[in-house]
Amino acid sequence: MNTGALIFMLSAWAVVLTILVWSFSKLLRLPPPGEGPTTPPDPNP
Amino acid sequence: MTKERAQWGSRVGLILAMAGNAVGLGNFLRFPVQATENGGGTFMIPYFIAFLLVGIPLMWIEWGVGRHGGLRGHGSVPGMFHSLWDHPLAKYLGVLGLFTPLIVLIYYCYIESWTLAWTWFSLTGATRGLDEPAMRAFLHSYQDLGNHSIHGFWTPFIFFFITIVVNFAVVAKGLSGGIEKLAKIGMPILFIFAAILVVRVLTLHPQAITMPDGSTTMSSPAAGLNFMYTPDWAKLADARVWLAAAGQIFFTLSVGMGTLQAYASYLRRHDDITLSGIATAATNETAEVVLGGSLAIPAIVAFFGVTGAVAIAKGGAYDLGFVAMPLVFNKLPGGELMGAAAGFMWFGLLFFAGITSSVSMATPTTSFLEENFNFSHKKAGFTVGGVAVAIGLLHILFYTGGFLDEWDYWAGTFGLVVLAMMETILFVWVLGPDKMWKELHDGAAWRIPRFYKFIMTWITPLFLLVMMVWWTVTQAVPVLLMDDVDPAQLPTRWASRGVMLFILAFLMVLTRIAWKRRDARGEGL
Repeated sequence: MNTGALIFMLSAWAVVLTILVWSFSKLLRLPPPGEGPTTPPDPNP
Repeated sequence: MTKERAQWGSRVGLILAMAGNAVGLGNFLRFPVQATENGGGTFMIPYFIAFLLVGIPLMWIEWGVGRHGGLRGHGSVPGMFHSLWDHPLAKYLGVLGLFTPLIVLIYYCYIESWTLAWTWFSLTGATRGLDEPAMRAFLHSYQDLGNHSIHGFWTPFIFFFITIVVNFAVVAKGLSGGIEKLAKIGMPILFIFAAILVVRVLTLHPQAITMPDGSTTMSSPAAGLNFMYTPDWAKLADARVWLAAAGQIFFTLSVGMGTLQAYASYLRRHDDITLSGIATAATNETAEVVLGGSLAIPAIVAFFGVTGAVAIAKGGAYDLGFVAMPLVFNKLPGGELMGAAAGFMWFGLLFFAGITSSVSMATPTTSFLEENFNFSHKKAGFTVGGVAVAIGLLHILFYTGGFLDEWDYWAGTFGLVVLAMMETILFVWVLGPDKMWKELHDGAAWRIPRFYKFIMTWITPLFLLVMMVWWTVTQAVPVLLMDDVDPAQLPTRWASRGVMLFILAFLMVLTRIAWKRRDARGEGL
């Protein structure tokens, strides 16, 4: 496999897997459904 | 009179059900075909851009439209559109959100029944030792009821009936007890089967393959990955590659269907949708890019070379899934047992990918019947199941006449873009960008970066408009006029369109009756 293709593939996988792990790690820390709101403040209201 | 609505049992169950809805046959069959036909690495660049500009925004829009409607007692798109736009036309535009999932459900269950049948054939060794012409004949005999050379007349009916029974047994058990449970079981199995197959494919040794000119060369799964991730920059100027990539993002995320909205309608007022929406999209992309992209193409390239893989992709997703992949399994080192195990896992994962999507397609119609015609959940489920069986038989009987192709194009392809366009206009423009932004962040566990407000307001609708116009000009008009259709198929295809139009008209009439009843009860938006 050539280096450019390998870098492209690993970057694509990294982006997708990072979003997956980040979002699920945050979701699993949330209170059960129905106990919101948990909205963080808007930094630029 | 607003009945108490069902609710999701857990957040993970909800995300898995949403992801199960999105992860379907398209992730493992359509994606490799589209990527291969459109230049492999060249396709992947617009694919990721479309994911960021259209896919993720539409995912949030559909979660938002669904929760907004659900809080007002609407579990299907006609009511959701009416709650966004107080105009008599709104509910009729929303009928597309009942029509599309019902139409797709019916033919999707038929294709899903093939995956169940091939899981069985893999276990019983029915495809073992077949060469390419024999494998193709094996598929064609199954599809063509007039061809009894291999399969009996009733075989497709039996697998279709089993598939429908399993689907509607899940639907009848309800949201938490049926759909959520299925997702919690089916999604992990799907990911495990896919991961095992990916490891098996990527650890294949280089194979000697014969080229069309008779010469012999070596090929490997790495050559397939090279093809998938080496862009040809000159080809990026081809608009068709961009449209194909945007189209794939549409299908893979199941946006424009009416199903994500139906699931989101069961959320509570302050339940998060921003983080949940992106988690759903990321789960789908993991299944598609990381697993789907590392399965069929590297495996097929390893045994047939890049030229062979491109030729197979031109034959379509069914040739790839039901002819090429079983041929690959027959060639795997490890003998008959390895071939049977790989076939079982491949078709098993396709079945789970299919069923977690098809149960979601039944949800808009069952919700509509429950909410507007006082059907119990079971009665609504069995009614839609009965319709799916009755009309699904037409697909089995007339598959070779192009009956399914018409439905797949008008509802499963063109209809998605039309519904997505309408809901984007209503949620972003009729509700207003500021209200839309506020609605998305009600109860949000994460604030969406602000530049996405600009993207959702301008870029996403523009992208959709370009897609719709382009498809209308380049595809819809020729398909409508049946320019490239075999004349022998014309009667079946016209009949297919007639049945579709009848279903659309019937749903319009049901919607009219439902709103008259609502008005009589004095129910507002």
